[in-house]
Amino acid sequence: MTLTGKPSRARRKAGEAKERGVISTTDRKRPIVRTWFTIVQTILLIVLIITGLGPLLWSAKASISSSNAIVTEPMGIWFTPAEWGNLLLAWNGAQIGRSLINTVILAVGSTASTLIVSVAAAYLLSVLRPKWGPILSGAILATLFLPGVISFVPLYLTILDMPLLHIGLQDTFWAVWLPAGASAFNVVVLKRFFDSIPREYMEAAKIDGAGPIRILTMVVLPLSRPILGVIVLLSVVGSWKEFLWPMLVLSNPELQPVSVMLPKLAAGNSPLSVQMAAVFLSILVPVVIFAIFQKQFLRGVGSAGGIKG
Amino acid sequence: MSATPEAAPAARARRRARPRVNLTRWAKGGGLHAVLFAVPVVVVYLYFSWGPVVQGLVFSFQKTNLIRPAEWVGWSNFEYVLGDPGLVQASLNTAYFALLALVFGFPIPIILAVLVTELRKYDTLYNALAYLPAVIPPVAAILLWKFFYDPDSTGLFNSVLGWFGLGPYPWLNDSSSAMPSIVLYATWAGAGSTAIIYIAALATVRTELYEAAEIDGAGIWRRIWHITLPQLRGVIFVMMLLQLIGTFQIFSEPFLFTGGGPNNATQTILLKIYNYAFVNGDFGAATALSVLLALALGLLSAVYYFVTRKWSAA
Amino acid sequence: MPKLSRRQVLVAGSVGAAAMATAGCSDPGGDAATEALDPSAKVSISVGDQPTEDKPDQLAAFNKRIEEFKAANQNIAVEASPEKWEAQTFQAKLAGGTLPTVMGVSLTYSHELIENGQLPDMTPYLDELGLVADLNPLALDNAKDDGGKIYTIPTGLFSVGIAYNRAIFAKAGLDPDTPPATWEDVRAFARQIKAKVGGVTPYAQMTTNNTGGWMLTTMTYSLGGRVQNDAGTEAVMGQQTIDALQLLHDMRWGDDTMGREFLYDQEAVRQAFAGGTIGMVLQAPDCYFTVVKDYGFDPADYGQGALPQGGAGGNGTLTGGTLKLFDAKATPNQLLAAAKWIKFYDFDKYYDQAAALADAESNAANNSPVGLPGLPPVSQAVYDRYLGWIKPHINVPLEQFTGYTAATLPLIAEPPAGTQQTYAALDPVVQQILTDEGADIVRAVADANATVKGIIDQAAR
Repeated sequence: MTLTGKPSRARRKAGEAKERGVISTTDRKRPIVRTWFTIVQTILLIVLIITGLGPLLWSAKASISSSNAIVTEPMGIWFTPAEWGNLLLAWNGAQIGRSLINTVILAVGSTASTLIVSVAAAYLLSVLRPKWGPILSGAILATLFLPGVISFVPLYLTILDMPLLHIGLQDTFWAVWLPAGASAFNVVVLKRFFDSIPREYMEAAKIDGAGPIRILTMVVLPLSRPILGVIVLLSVVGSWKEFLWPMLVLSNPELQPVSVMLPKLAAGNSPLSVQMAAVFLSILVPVVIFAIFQKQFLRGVGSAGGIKG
Repeated sequence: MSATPEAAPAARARRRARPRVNLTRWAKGGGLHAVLFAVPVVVVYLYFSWGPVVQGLVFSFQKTNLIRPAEWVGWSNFEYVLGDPGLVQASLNTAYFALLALVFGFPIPIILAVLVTELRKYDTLYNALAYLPAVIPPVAAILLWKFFYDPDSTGLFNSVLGWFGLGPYPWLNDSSSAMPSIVLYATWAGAGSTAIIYIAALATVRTELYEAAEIDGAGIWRRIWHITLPQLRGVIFVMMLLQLIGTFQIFSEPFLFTGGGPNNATQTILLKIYNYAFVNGDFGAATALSVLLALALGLLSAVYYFVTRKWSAA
Repeated sequence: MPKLSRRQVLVAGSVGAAAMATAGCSDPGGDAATEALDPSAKVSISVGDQPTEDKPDQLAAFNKRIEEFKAANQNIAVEASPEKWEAQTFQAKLAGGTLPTVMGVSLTYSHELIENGQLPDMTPYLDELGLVADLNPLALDNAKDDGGKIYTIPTGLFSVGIAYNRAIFAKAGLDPDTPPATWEDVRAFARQIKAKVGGVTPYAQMTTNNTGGWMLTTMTYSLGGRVQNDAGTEAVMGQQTIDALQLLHDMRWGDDTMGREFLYDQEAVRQAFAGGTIGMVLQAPDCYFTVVKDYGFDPADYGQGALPQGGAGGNGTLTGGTLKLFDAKATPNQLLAAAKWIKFYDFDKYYDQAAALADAESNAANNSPVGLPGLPPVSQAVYDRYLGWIKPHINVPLEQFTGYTAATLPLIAEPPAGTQQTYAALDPVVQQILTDEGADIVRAVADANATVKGIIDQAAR
């Protein structure tokens, strides 16, 4: 696995006008290439519109239809938008607004926690290299192969009453944030990346009188931006998806993320139309936010592509 | 493996040569900072990883419901789990999912990325559209898809396919199509976000090579096959590992779509562990199966490492 | 000495926790707990099952009851909690002790929970409140251990019957007032519905989240068979289970009268029934509440019959219901307060005409069903008196339930050992029959017996 970063290169590329790709300018002038390319391009656009916007549009329609219409005529174009109350019921009943905010809080906190712990561990193991490093490294690596479920119940007991400290984290965001910090995979990936940073940079900084913390913040972290992007992306997506653990440790509805709220609505005898309205709202809000910050977001995610062999 | 192998032994040798005299020396030499960095790591792992794992290991040899005192039961949890007639099928299902997920979920993002990269106009629009599924909360998406998969001819997918004279298909309601249906969803949900990473990687492909190849008379397909893909090897390797790890943790999709049905066709190992613990309240059996899965994963990773070491070093 | 008594109850009720908290203290006198009881001591409890905010009128009614209870019991601080039984997290929360002082769970769990020591001995508190004498003895059997101690209060009892859509029956030329009485009827009715009414599933079967096993057990009972022996030591599914599966197989693959969806659970099937696309489905009468109140089904179209029967004797129907789960780690005063709340919330209406009327009026006012047939949690005499009181407010079309209420089927309890696990193990069997035409039914039942036996043995270790 080579995670050698060529970050400077990637950044330079992004800033410039697009260079040629596989298909050259000469190719583009050939009629056969042009025809095919246009066809493929159009099909791709249609497919992407259906897959990307379809669910949003359909759930928008369903959210203002009656339960009966949703079941009997899911693809009916003509429908009576009779049930505006569904949206209100869903917004209030499922607390979509609050649970979306909770989802974001959980994602941000979990990401921060995994970044802090993993960077500290990787820096320790890759750069500081204390004598007891290999032991710590082995202990972290060993957890890589253990599926989370093995410790699910004991972890829950830990959250309820932390040994020695006797603090209960149940029904606090910490119950989700802190366990997210212990991610062996991220430590491994980061350590490999740190290993590949030329030591001369750090030696030079050291000669300039920088301590370990300054070396980390001034040399190592800036050079590691691409890999940090990957870790942020993976951990945000991961926490976006998580629902069993938050369901267990966050029993207070005020703290529950959308992923816990929605299945509960489905199991709680809410009418189908209200469920669909809740689904629609929980799709709409992130999609709107994404649309607004789309450029910054994709660029940020894109920096993850700096990992390259 | 592009670590700096020379640097490591050198640094270690330097450190070993230094005489250990007193605490000040040790602190100045970076020992204090090492401890400083180690504290959050050790605390978090101790509380939220190592501790619970060890307790989980203990559970696998016990019968306990945490209210009554635990009893030691030797290997009987392992015997029960291994004797469970559903275990073989759950293992096969997990492997089947992994295979399908690779067959579909792996090439589609690459194709998508290559196509989008070739666009000269509107590529941000394509990008954004492709990424949209990843923005939708997965649980909401699954609730929707579950409805789309309605096996009646009035179901959404079936009515659309009906326009073309196809179907109706049973989707989740048939042992043979249930798992592919789940993979179809997973591919939809994951393709966009994976493609974004490939797109970014494609931006770093050395374009001089295309020109050289073109001059040599290589067509578009040959250029993709011989230049684009080899240059993406590193990132493909990482993404494949990520997807593999992800597929073994497949849980929420079968859990929310089918609950493991029909007839156990989507029962995965993780779902089984979950059922032992949270439907049966049998924490012993659940942790015993987790231990077995961990052993299998460890073995598999070792094999993957040795097989691919050559390939990625090449 | 409240502190001491707390310890003693901990020892009596939950040995595990006590062993950690008070190692060495070993004087589990059951009477000590009652002696230390102080009905007027200040105590705070939490009660589960508060309706969520998307059902505003039910929530308001619930909160009103809480306020009334607080006013009547100044020393008890009650905190309402929306916590309710959720299969996904129940076991972990039970183990972690984070459930409210009292909440409802399926009666299915009772044997398991009592056997595992996960319920406190409630006998002294129920005696104190005089609640035991009038409870339905049938229900009480589910709440007792071998020594006669009572661990929980059963409420909302039911026996499984068959729900049917009267409008579909009428369209198919069937008499809406005659539900199917035998499985032959079910099959014939389903064929007729398929022939006359398009776009509906004539007969639907639940198959997921343990409901498949639950309904297979019900069908086995209706044909005179059993799933486990009475002691819960053997799996005894035989010819009756094979016949039940064969019937489903023939209806699915021969008659094609079971539609295309075979992954229904309780919520999904009720939702589809309320959508008017299901002709018949096995359901207890509480189905009416959900489909009418929550899903807006037209009450006039709801029909409820007794469980169709068959076989050669020993047949009957399966009973079930809700039990009130009390926190095994609560103090005696908390348990007493929680029992008081249950008495107030679930039982006062049976004894006090004013309470009965108030309850019925408030339910009628927010269009909740009043007078829904079911098995009473109290004795028949008490229940009949209650029905007399609320008669003017009954808004459930009782004549549409006569097929159910007129039947006198023997009531058979659920399989005693590892009940939920047994049901879970039978889910795939039903799913297999419905999704695989070539399924070997005899072999599937034999395999299921082996699996259930494994569960029994694992539970009995």
